[in-house]
Amino acid sequence: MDGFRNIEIKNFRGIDHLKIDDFSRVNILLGQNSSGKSSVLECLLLMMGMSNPDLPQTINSIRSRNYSGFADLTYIFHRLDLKTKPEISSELFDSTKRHLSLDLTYVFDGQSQAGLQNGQIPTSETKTFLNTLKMLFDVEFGQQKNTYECTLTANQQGLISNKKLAEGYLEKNSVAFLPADLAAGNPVNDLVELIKRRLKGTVAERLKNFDSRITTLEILNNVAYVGLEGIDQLLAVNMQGDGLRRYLNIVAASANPMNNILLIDEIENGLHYSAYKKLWEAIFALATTTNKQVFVTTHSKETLYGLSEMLEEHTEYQQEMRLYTIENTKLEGLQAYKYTYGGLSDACENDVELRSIAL
Amino acid sequence: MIDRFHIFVEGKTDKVFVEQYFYHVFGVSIPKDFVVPTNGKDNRQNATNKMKTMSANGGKNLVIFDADDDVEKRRTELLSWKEKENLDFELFLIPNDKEAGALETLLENIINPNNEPIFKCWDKYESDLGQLKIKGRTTPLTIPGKKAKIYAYLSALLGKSDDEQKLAQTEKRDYRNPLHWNLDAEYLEPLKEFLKCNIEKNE
Repeated sequence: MDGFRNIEIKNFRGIDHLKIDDFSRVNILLGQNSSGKSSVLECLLLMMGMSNPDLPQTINSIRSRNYSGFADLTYIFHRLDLKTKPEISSELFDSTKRHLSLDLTYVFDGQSQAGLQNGQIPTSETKTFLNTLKMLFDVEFGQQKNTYECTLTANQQGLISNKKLAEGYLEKNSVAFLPADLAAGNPVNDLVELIKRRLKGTVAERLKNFDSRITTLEILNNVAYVGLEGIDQLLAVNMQGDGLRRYLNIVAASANPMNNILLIDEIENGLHYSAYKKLWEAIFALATTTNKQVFVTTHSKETLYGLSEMLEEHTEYQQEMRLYTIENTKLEGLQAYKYTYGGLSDACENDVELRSIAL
Repeated sequence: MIDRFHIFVEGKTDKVFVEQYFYHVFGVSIPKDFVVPTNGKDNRQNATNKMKTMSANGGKNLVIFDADDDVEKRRTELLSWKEKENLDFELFLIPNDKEAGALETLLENIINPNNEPIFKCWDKYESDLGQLKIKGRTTPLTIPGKKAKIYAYLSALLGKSDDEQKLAQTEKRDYRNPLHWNLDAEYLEPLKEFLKCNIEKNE
């Protein structure tokens, strides 16, 4: 399996420092609101898109559920402090190491504070505008280390004026990101890819586990449709309930062999608890078939019960699961505590609350 | 009382007792999820993680496990787990941190004294069972364990209806019923002292 063995994050959004070790095929991040779970997914996405200078703005747009401008890139910096650069490091299963840092620089109006050079951090009195996002990254393999850089430059109006891609770097990984926002997901691209490869049946079959009345799955004019028993016409999936849309989005992304990393934010959104077990089974089965690594965030205890039940029946997937509780502790800051199947199963059996208790 | 702590016990049966005894000692209910059962397939992974979390939050961990057959052996084993995992916890071994045993050993010692005849009757039953010869059976009969003794004790005291009899089950017991139990028994002093010493705030 390609993908991440671990990740270490510094100064990224609300995360001052967090290290998560020993990832496996399917990795679940559990935590309270604002514990940094979604930020971890964003870091994983950035790490597999280090050569794409548009990506930081893209993750901001996903988060804000709207277009996010160049100036909003400051939100990526911990405490909005541009002096502390966000840094992400990872070891991958292919024995390479990656390191990425982000840098935002200023251009200032020289008349208001003479003596400052471009790139220096000005005082609050100085009239400035953010000018350049720089993504510096390196890839290490054994003794060999290659360093790259890509940049995005904005003009005084905040519009992108120049984009420089990382020369000589080719990203071999492909990431699919399913945001928490149910309206944001669209399974059509994944389904088209599956139809081309004559793999649509793998998804259609899984949909029957969600609703046994589903007989067919079709794409017409860029819209996904399902056929239901007893109904003559096909029904547009986007006109159905949130549950079916979410289930289809997740299953289609899991089945698409083009993505080797799948990130799912708040998996429980839109789904009734009775769907979890079959959904987990689909994720593990399809991730195994397509040799994919999956990262999932959740707040939901019921999703974990569904997961534990599924793993009890499918012993072949037990070693492939990791669960991490992300805790913002009072004395040691952000910490990730790792659970394997045994810990998850014991917690479910004893009704132990894995989510942090209110302290 | 300190506001951040976990009490780790072995199973759900212990959790029920500790929660009720906590109320008896402190006069307040212990918050939901503060008592954590740890039994299971995986060697205390939940306990280890939860203890680390609690310590990182500046809270306290108490471990109330069974002493089993050898109290000092058990203590050594648990302290070695503590050291190996770099955990921070205070340890009490049931029944009284001195003797071998488990929750049932403790319960045997805190029944309402008026009910002693029920235990005498049980002792006679055990003794008779040990001497019984069953035709065609070569091995001696098994004497029921302490779990059965406590169940039978409660079952005898409860009414005949199914609803009443259910209250003899480990997770449905009411240890605060003074007709059945004496939570002020001297035998409980070491446990009471352990809880007070660790959970009450040092002003």
